[in-house]
Amino acid sequence: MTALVDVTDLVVEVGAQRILTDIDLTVQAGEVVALVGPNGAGKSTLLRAITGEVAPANGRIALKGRTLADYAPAELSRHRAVLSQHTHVSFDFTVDEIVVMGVDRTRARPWVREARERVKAQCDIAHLSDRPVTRLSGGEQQRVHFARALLQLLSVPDDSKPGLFLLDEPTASLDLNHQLRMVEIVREVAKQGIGVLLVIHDLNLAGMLANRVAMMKAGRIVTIGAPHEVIRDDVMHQVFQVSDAVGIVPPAPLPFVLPQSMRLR
Amino acid sequence: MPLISHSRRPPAVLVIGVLALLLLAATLLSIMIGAAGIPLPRVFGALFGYGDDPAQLAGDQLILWSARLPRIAVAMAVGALLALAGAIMQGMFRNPLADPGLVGVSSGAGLASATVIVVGDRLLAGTGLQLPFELLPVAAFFGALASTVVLHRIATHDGRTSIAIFLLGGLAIAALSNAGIGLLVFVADDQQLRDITFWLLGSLAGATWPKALALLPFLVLAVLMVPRIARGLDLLVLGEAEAFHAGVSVQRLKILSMVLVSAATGAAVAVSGVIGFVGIVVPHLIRLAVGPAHALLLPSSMLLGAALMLCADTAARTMAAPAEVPIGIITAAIGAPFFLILLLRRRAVASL
Repeated sequence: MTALVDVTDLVVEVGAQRILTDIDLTVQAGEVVALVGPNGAGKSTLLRAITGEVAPANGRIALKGRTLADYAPAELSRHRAVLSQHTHVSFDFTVDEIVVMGVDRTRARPWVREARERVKAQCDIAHLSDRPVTRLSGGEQQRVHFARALLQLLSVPDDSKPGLFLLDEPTASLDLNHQLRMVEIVREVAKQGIGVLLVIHDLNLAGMLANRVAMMKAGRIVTIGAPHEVIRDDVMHQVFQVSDAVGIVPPAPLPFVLPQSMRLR
Repeated sequence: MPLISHSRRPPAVLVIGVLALLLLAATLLSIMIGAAGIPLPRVFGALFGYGDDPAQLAGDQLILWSARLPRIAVAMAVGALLALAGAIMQGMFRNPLADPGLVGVSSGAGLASATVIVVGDRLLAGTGLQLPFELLPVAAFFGALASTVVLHRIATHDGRTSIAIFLLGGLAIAALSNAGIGLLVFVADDQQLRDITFWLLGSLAGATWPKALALLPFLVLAVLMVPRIARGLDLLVLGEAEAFHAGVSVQRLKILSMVLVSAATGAAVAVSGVIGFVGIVVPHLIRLAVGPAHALLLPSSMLLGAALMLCADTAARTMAAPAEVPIGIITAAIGAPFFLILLLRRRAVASL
């Protein structure tokens, strides 16, 4: 079976600087792959290369067996959706207006309205519907843009499915409750056959939601595999120069918080 | 919770309907008021050709058809085009402070027009030929396009536009264009000087049917293009990368927008000179009332721009009758404080 995304020997350069070297990576339909690693490892650049924003200097990125560069922007948007790290909106669009912005144009109004309400409820932004997005908190804005990207993906016609969902730090500005909610949603999305590739800093969350974790350092993938194969003391030490990091509970008075599931209201 | 944080949008049909009525009212007012006042019943009489007094009817008809109506047509077209150019430019640069007059696009158009007037006149001197009027909108378009492209090059880097660099860059382009115009003024003869001065102050006094007709293709172009760029401009508000993610060909959209802004500004400048601030005031008012979605913002701005320009021109020709106040002075007197208020309110929210 052809992988949803197939990256081979990818090299990306920005100016004269080499950012990514010899990257090989696949994402299957229904799979969640997490990119982790220190700042400047090239995680976001790899993600942006797969969105089509950044052209490879060498190597190949194939989406459903076709070279990425062969897709026109409109066609590409029916096969993959993207959540950027920061999205700055310069005019007072309301949450409802933003959420439906990426919707496939063949969808009729009643479908869009119904899907919008469903996605808003899922992302816990239903109470913000008529609010200008510019006046929301950072975490709320992130949920709005996540909902928009999700709806873009859900609205694509059947012949373009399954889609690919690319997320750059989707949990970065979220509180504990919404981080776990995000984990739930991403898992559910994957269950529908959508492939998910995300950049994430929180290794606990990465372990919780990913089928495979790719550890990056200095523009290369150091190791890739199931969470327990990658998030290990020796890898932590090699990549982050920290010791005794995995699975150690801090001594008594220090609080230690790691909720692993949540009770939805 | 403060009222302002919620916004329910009025339905599109209602918005367009109200604005169309407003434009109609402004048109009737503009027909009635003038050096020779014509009361409403006589306006309809003259329009549809009936009246008790044949001499008076002939007089009314003459004023209406040869003076007021062509001027009204030009004012509406110029107002609609300038407001549209402002709205598109603001969307394209993701910046509510963009205005073709403010950032040098109109000056670029003015410089190109002035160049054609002076240089063209020199070249044709002795041949006995007249400079064709149709050349001016074309020259103005290319002048406007050159300014827009340069501004875009200056202000946008890596898909991001810095507001400060955008405004300052625009200022520099305007200054450079004005220096060029100054040079042309210096070498121009008396007749050319009169023509150039007309551009600088902005006036609708020279409005004729042929000029109104020359603007028509630009209006048609605008009406045809608006639905094609509305969705793209909405998505561009999220950023260039995000618009691309959602399926917009960003490069194509930007080129289309630049051409449209330049065509609209160039056409307006060619017939009326540099009239500032319409492009910033009108879209802002529309956004407050109906929201920023371009599918409604662009046509609404055209309607309100037409109505406001008509009111401003009516004021321009009646305030000091029988003399005329240049309309550019009126729009600047209203628009500049408006711009300052916008700037100050933005300062409260975020630094430039």
